Amino acid sequence: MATIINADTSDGLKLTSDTSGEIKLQSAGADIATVNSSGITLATGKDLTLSSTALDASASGIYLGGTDAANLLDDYEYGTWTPTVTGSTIAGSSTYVIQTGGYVKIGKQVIAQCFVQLGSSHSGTGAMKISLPFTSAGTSSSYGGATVSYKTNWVSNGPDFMQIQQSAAFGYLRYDNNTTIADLNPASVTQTNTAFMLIINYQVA
Amino acid sequence: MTIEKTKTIDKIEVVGDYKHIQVRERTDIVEDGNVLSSTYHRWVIAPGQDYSNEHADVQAMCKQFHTQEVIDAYTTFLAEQQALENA
Repeated sequence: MATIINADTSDGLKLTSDTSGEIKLQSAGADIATVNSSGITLATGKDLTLSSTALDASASGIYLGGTDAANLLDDYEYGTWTPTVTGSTIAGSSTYVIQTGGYVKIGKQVIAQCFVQLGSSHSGTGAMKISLPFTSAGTSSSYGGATVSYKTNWVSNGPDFMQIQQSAAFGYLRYDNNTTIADLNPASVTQTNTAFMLIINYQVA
Repeated sequence: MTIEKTKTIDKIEVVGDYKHIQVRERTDIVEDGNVLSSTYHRWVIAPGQDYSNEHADVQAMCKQFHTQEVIDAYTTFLAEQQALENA
């Protein structure tokens, strides 16, 4: 049976120590957290969990440096996603030799990487689109993008950067030949073993 | 001792102006009922995108939110954005 300490006055419940003392929270005889004049310290190996509910976007968080919405950090997550290549006019298809991606999400910021190697030329037409793990923000101050850290086996004009589409979960691979900045047409520029790596940075909706 | 790998859709979110459906799949490695490790895998379903191979719960969300009106608005938005970028 749980032991309940009921603070039945308007002053609430106070746990105090003298000026040199500490207040410890223990579980099974082991320290979990210590309160002293410096602050609150968790014991080595112990975690602080701010939970969220599955199927519910709302989450607990921690305010850092203020109590406005802009000070709330309510999400941290890392994982994988599978980058796909499509065309904006005709989605098209290709086989993949390598198709792997990872991400870290800290609050609204997503930092991701991916490596794609096609097994054949891509049949998509229009602008070349690469899928993302999260939907991008639609605000005018959130311009995300990606740098190309590796590319090989492009027919011509391989990608120089990726521009992230606002309010969407993809970016456009584009090239810059110092005269023209333009989209890449998958069917025109890809072939067997066309490959690229991206380092992606953007904010989410 | 039994070790098994389980996959579950543990989060489905409706995000943004055009009701993108964000899906998170959790993979657990479980030993005798205790989770030893877990990882996440993510993907997003845009309005108008085929969702027929998705989990039934994801399909239900797509069916509810990806109405023809939303699909048309998203298609128009993308066309306008691309025209601006290529101008």
